[in-house]
Amino acid sequence: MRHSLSAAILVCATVLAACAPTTSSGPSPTSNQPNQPKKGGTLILARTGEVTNLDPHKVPAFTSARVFELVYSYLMRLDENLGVQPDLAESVPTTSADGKTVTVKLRTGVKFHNGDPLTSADVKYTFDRIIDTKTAAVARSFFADVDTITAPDPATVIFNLKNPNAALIAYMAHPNTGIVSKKLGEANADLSKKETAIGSGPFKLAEWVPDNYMRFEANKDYYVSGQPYLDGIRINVVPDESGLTAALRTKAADMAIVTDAKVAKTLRNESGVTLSAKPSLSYNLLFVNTKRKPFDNLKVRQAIAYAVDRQAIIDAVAFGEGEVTGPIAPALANYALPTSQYPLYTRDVAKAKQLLQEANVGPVSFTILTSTTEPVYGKDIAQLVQAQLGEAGITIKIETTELTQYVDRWLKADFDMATGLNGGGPDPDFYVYRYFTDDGNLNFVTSYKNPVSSDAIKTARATADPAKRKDLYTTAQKELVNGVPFIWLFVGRDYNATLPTTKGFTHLPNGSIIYLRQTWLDK
Amino acid sequence: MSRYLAQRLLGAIPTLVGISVLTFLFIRLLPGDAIAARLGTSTALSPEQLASLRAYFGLDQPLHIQYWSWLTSLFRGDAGYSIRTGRPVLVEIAERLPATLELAAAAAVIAIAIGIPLGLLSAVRPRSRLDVAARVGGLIGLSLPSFWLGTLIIVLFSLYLRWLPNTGGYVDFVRDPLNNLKLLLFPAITLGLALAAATMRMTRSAMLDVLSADYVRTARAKGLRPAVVLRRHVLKNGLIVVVTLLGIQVGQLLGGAVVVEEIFSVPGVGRMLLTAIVQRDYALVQGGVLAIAILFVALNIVVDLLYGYLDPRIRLA
Repeated sequence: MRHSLSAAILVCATVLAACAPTTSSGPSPTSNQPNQPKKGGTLILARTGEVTNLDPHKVPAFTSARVFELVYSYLMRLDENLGVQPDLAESVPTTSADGKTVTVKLRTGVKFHNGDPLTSADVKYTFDRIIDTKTAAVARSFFADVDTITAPDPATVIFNLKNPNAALIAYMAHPNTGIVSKKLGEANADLSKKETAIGSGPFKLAEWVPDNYMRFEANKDYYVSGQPYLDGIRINVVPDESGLTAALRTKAADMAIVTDAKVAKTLRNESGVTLSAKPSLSYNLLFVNTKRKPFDNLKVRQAIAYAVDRQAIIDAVAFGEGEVTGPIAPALANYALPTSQYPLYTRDVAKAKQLLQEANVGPVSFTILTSTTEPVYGKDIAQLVQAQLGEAGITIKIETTELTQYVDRWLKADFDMATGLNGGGPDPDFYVYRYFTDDGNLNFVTSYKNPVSSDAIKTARATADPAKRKDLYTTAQKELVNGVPFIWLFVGRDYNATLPTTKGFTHLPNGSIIYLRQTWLDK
Repeated sequence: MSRYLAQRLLGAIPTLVGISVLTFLFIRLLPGDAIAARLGTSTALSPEQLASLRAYFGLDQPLHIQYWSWLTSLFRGDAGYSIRTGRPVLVEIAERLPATLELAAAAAVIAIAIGIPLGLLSAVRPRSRLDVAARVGGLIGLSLPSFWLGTLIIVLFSLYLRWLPNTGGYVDFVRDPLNNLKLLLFPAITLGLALAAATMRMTRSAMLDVLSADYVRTARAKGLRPAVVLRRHVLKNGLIVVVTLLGIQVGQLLGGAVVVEEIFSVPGVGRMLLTAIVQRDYALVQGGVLAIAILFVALNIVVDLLYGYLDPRIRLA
């Protein structure tokens, strides 16, 4: 028995020793590399989230969107400066003088991964599917102005609109508008299986082992000539964000999508890792349910806005990595008003107390609903707000639930106040239309009604002239900040970490990995 | 023997039905359904759209109809479809089960390899230094919850010492045996350590009982060598209790695997279940729990059958 015990110990010790890394740190980044892309190799991308479903139109999760971008192609794409560029469209779509007809010319010779040609019929089918209420598509509300879609020839698609819509072309770059095959769509009840994930994007989905990894192979027939440079991509699911650091350190990954500011901070000081940080398009906020007492009283809402210290929240939860935001994220510099223009953004506890007194609603107490995961620091924000509002005599309870429970409550507007992290886009319309117009599909969340901001936002959607749009959005933003249906807090940073051998990638602030198509490995 | 087996198998059916009903009800008691889980807060749908989506997945049916349709899917041989992947639940489970079974087996091997020798040595030399050390170690091992131990192992070995970084990328044994074993080492230790401690304590007390039995004294008096006494008389008799305990505990390993698989990113049934619960993937939760329950029941039957082998006095009839 003693022999077997010592043998067991010996085996354990040997295995442990075999598992130890042979090098403790990687070589320093090489310089003077030629910038000529090298072909080949498989890029390993590490991230913490997993795909929730594969239907490109039905699942809004950021984690799923990243996969759609590799598999499917889009009429438009975003460039580094958030400009909207043609992608599957051959050129920028043309809009008729009355703004009601948008014509898209398609690239020719594009093929789906199964070899079928991609024509205007597939594009028409895709957008008909998105608009169809039965599909329950994520992007449906963006295309609500579309009346009919026609495909007069294989390379032309015409969108006939009920009203002019200046944001429509930007929405054609939304990750939930990937072009699907008509043949495949009609033959399958839904497109959520691995077998139906057939697009015309730069990479083909070759394998999906849920909760473990996804493997992609290069699409040799991709329409951008010479791309993708990589032979393939493997997306590894890492259990937590600290695993991303470990993966990069040990070169088990060539790239990592980082969401935790603390991990980003560690990676910034890590030799041999390049961290790219861009002001995010997504924004952190508090939803205010204006249907519930005492939030039906404007003065109470304004008092709360005065009592919140946004910079303190940024410092505590995002380690200082972020900017205070209004209704439109600062990354949309042409439209976002500087927050210095909002009086309610200067913290003033005395003013808050005075407003509460004027509101005459008695002691104010309410509950903040937070979820454990979206964002993970939601509870921290709630606790900070609890302390800050406490100084103005407001009592707050915090209720934390797991995400699905939170979503269920949110869909029923069953909360007083709720933390949230909302996605953003390249057009200001994305930030305000859905929530703050009288026909916006999300206006039930806060039940906020303001004809001035609603009209301004609706007119801006129908206005092509950028200067006029800017004026309209200025009006809307001021109205919204004063009306406090949301308490807009801050935008964090979108992080992407790469090894020096990963080249050619363009990091977009919406976390998109579409530019893996032009990425190459210098190994 | 075969009659006994048939009886046990028949007896297991009400247990499994009971478990499936409870799982079915409990997962539906959780607020929020698969539709909410899938849509998040970015897409808001009108009540009609939500209703049509719920109808599509059959979530609008009365509970007994939903249960019946799930039951028929079991007999159809697919156990329903996962809302997340659109694939048959049976396929999902079949793909995930090997990782869980391998993890549980590795943990059991660790537990047996550490627990039984240590327990035996402790019993043979009670109150010796080794005995005290083993007992204290056992107490510590039993007291460490796996989620804490797992996290500690990751912090110490993966982050601090940078051995075996916890970077995901699990590979199965058939594809890459060496890497598979490397990736499995820490999860197996995490899962197996508490069981090793329990096995050690149980072995020790069982052996102490047997060591003081008359027949052992007789064997010694006959002049048998201590090693022979241990092997032939003590071990075989003392092991019955240990086998019972191991049988139950290995079954519990399957449950414990849920936590350990999540911490170490092992794509087994446990991790699948956790994701399925979060996403309210009802059919997958029901199928996964049922699979674990079937394994548990099967293990118990195997343990009962082992009794007959270890102790001929026990007749299985």
